[in-house]
Amino acid sequence: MNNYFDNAATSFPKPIAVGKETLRYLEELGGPYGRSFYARALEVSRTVEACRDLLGERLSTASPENIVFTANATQAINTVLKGLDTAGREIWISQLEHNAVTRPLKQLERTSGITIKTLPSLPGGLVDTEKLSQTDLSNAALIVLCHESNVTGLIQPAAEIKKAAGRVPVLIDAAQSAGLIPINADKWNIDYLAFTGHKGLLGPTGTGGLFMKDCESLRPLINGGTGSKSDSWETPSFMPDKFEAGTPNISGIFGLFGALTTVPEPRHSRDDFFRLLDGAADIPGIQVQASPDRTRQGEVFSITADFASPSEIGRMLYEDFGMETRIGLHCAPLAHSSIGTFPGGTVRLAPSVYHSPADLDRLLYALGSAALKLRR
Amino acid sequence: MKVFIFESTRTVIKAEQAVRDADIFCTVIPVPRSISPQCGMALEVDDGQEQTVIDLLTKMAIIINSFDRDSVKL
Repeated sequence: MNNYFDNAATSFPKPIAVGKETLRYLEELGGPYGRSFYARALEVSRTVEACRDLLGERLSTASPENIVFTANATQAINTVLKGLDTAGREIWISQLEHNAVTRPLKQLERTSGITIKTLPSLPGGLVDTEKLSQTDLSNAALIVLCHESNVTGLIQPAAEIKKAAGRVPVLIDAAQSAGLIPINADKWNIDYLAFTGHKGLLGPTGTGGLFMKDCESLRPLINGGTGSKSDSWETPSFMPDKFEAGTPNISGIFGLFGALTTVPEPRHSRDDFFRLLDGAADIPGIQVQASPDRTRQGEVFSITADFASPSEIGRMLYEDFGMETRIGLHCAPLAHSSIGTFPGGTVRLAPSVYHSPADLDRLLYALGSAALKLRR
Repeated sequence: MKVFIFESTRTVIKAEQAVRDADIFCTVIPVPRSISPQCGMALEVDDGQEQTVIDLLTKMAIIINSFDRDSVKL
């Protein structure tokens, strides 16, 4: 029985190998990444690089050395937004962006005079690629795209948007999608892709990364020791050292390595997921906030109700049925404004691959029962 | 003996794996101070294997420098 439906915040449970690999580092191995020559350091370094290679496979890039580890997707996004020369230029974003994008952009608006522009979109926030290809992007420094909305689960057509963007570089925020939706960084010609390790990839918190097609296009967010070119005050210009100053989260990377080596088979089907979504939509008084196009729906969606607030519903789901869901704005006020749920927010339902069809049925039952009680 | 040094930890790890996969014996040693002041790992291989290792790593586009072991101080 799995009552945890907050996997868009962070996944749980994790594959057993996550804990085993983390403990292997913390209890058996220890030692630094690089910087020394003894067997312990060598084994740690091998595992970190094996993890980087596995990430390269998951992102479908032939250049895993262009993936750098970060603490989370937010740090990866900040690395791009603050590492590019954008002063006085436009940065275009989708209607479904997270605060991980909008907050650094607001800072850049004040400090660098950038202009934030919104990509042409269809109802629900899907980027209108036809209109985009006709949009004047002559002063655009970057397009930022939330690949999968953490509120509605809408999946953007990343490859088509990159094509329509022409010469303008594109940053994909894959915080929700990495590990759950196939990503092909090379084929899609993606310039930058930020991801986290602890959601769809099922690794530990404190892990994430950034893929970049051209590592010379960015300045590093932080500078410091790398164990290479140690006689110089300058940060190395080669990868991955340029963007990995300081000791990395080695225990986290070991855990992520464990997750990447043991990818679990989903315990429920897409049909099972859509039975949950359709069942929720059929409950009188409940509105489902999801992608209008089913082929562009990830496995997270939100609900609102005309008879109770999200917090009333979420509280009853938890106190009466033990269901753990997420209430509020999900750090994405722009997305909520776009779909008409700002400032009240929603109840977000985010299953994981570990949920059985019976788990989804129990959530639907709980939702229906809560609705009945709250309407009285 | 020959000593190979590399620009990053990743390239050392990739080189060491490739050399071992080619059944060439190598030892991971600290980067000799007289070659480079950087921390980290270098590879030591037999003299007779130098060109094979250079060819192998060149194919992998791994940037290397090699030195005679006798000419460097640890």
